[in-house]
Amino acid sequence: MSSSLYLDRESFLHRLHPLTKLFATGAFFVAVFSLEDPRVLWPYPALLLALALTAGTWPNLRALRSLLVAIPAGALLLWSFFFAGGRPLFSFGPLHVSVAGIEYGLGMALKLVTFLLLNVLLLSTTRVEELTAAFSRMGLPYRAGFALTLAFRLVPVFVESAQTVLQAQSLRRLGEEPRGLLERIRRTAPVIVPVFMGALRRADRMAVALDMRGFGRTGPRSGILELQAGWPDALAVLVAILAPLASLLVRRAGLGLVAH
Amino acid sequence: MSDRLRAAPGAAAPARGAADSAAREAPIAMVRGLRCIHRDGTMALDGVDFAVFPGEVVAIMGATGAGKSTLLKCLGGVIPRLEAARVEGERMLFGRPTAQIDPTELAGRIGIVFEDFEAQIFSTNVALEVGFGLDQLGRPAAEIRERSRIALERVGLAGFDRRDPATLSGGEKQRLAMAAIWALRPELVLLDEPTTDIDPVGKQAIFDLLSAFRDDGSAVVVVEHEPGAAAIADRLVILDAGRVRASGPSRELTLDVDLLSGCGVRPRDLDVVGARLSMGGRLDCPDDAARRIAGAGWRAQSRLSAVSAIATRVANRAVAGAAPLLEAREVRHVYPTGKQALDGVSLSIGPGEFIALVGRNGSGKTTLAKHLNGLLSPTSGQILLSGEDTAGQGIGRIARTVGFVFQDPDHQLFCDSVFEEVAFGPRHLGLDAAAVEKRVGSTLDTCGLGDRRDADPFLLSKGERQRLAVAAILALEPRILVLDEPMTGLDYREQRTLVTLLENLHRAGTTILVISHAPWFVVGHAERAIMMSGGRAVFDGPIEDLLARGELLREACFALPEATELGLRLAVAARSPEDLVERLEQGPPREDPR
Repeated sequence: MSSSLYLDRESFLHRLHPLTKLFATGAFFVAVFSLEDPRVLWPYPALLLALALTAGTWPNLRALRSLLVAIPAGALLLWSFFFAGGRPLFSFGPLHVSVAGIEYGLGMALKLVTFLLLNVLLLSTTRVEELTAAFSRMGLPYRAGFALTLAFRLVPVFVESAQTVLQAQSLRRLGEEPRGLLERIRRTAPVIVPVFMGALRRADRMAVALDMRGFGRTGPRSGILELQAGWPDALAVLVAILAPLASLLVRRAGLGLVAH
Repeated sequence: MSDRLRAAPGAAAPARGAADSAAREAPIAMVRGLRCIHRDGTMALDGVDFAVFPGEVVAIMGATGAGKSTLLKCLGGVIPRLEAARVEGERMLFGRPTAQIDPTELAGRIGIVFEDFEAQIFSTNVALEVGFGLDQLGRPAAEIRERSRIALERVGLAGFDRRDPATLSGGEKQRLAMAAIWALRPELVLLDEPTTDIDPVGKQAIFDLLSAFRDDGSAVVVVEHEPGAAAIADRLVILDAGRVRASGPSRELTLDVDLLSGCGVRPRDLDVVGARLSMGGRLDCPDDAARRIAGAGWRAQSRLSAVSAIATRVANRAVAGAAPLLEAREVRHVYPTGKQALDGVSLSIGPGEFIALVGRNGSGKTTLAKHLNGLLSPTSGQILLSGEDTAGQGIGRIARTVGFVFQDPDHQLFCDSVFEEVAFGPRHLGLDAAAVEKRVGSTLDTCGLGDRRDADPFLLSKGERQRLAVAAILALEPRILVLDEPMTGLDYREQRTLVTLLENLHRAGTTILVISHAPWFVVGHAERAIMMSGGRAVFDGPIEDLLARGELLREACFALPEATELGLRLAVAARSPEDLVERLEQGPPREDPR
């Protein structure tokens, strides 16, 4: 089974030029980065969630649901307790929880959800090859672009290999699960050996295979993906520009921050 | 076999067919007096002469460690450019000294498929993988599409364009790696065991592809353990401990079955039969062989029908009437990607059975096997172990009864020594040190590894690692042993050692279930076959019944061993060439057997 995030669908987002998607990802990142108040932040993750659902990325959202819940929940908890300032609602020893702290925590949670959704959306709707092509269009040498996206190509392979190794080891230790963090860490060592050896061998083989198939060659590639931007890209770029612009206007209006 | 063939240097010109005209041309790749010493000091090649010409297929065969892969890498310049080793001797590629060639010049001119082909696949769908090389070479998109389409058709992957390679079975990935090479039409094709994971019919398709490369004027060098590769090769080179033991026209050299066996190469069934019956000359196919053998007066010793005779021969060791050990009831499995891998499989496995699980690539064999040991859970349906539903039993409890040996031994070996590797499981059973020592000792002896107990598992040969992986599971004393393609990548000697081990275990009462693409193993050693197709068990019964189901065999891409095919034509039940010869007797020659 596949362990990469890309989902082969025919959605609006899938058809967008990868450069458009990279630009929009950056724009949304900037848009939410400058805001703190959950009252103005929520439309961003809401819009992304709607897009994610229409783009058919539900299987990935489902697979990553624990991350999508745990990370913002952790942020909410952390910032609620450690936010400096505001009138305390209640206290645990030296830790105070204030309304402003909860608001700030909620804001951070929404920001993190936005970042996660942005990444899930980008990687669920964009092939690694498209990202490589986009980096090339941005002026990055092809080989550098390929190397940058190599992690996306290899991580799923290593995850799969690690899963097989874990399965094999689990059978031999008769399903006995490690107790405690130290034991858990100690148990990962035997997994690392076969996965690391496999990774090294694989990297070697891949280098040869790439070489023999013209990777080292200079000169233009034909662009097998035939990427073309159209009016949907123009629309997406417009929305992407509006996102940080809206944040800027909100900030200008004196909104968007939590009073410390 | 003549001395000329055995002593002939590998650099001899090609011998027949398309190769005749090639003899006048310069070799595409050539080495003379090649010595290669790996970084650990091992002498992999010791004075090898070899050349390959345009329009020629050369098969390199030999036991594991004979230097086959090293020779292939030296020919393509992979050693020492990308893989460090000390290389001495003359090396030429495309008419120039290999060391003087800029690697970028080789792009698209050499196609390599390695033994671990999965490492060569890095794209997110099949079409992009096949088109990668052409894209790098700047070919027009329309041409890339067309050549990719043809390449995928050639390897039997038509319609797979948008599939994620990660979702393909091992055999399908191997076909994909071949398609990626085919699309480039390189001048020199170097293949290191390109059919290890492919079903029998798919193997033949790959061998046909080699002929197609030859017809296109490419030079092909293929390292193989499969006799089928030698059958289509113009020339065969046998390596033994880093030296060329024999080289010559494949059709002649393959007749020397004793030489092949002695060098760890499995001979063709028909060549073994031909040699044992002193037929003289090559038996090309079962039809030709049957005609000539019958013409020489050989006939079946008894008039039992071919199919029913096998039944009398096989001592079915399954305990009659015993309650099933393992049952699958209407098992369906749908992967999170939505792919349905099992579609209502029901079967029952009794104590003491020896079962082969067969079927074409991607038919659901491994998925089914992983249900039997709890690694996967059914989407619907039940798996019962000794009558008890395995749902909720936990992998540990199941693993005490059902041992599973993964296809790649490297996925399951992780300790510092052979002893520790085998002791790992028994320690988790809670045995004390003395009991662990005793059990490891006897398991290592059973698996023929008694003298390697202190060795580092990663320094063992592939065959030894495979046996160690079996030993590590056996030490848990499971009642059922499930093995996923255990013969993959093993040479003939190692395969025979593993088969003997499995038969001994079976005799001692262990139930054996083996996923295998090897017809000689399935027909020659299993008692019962379960054939998978499209996630369903389309056949489940004694091997002898399977032999009569020609249509089903074709559908599942399973080819009977040549000896069995020949036997069916001579009304002799034969599970192996030796078996066939034993059951023939000679009378007066006849004109026409039919």
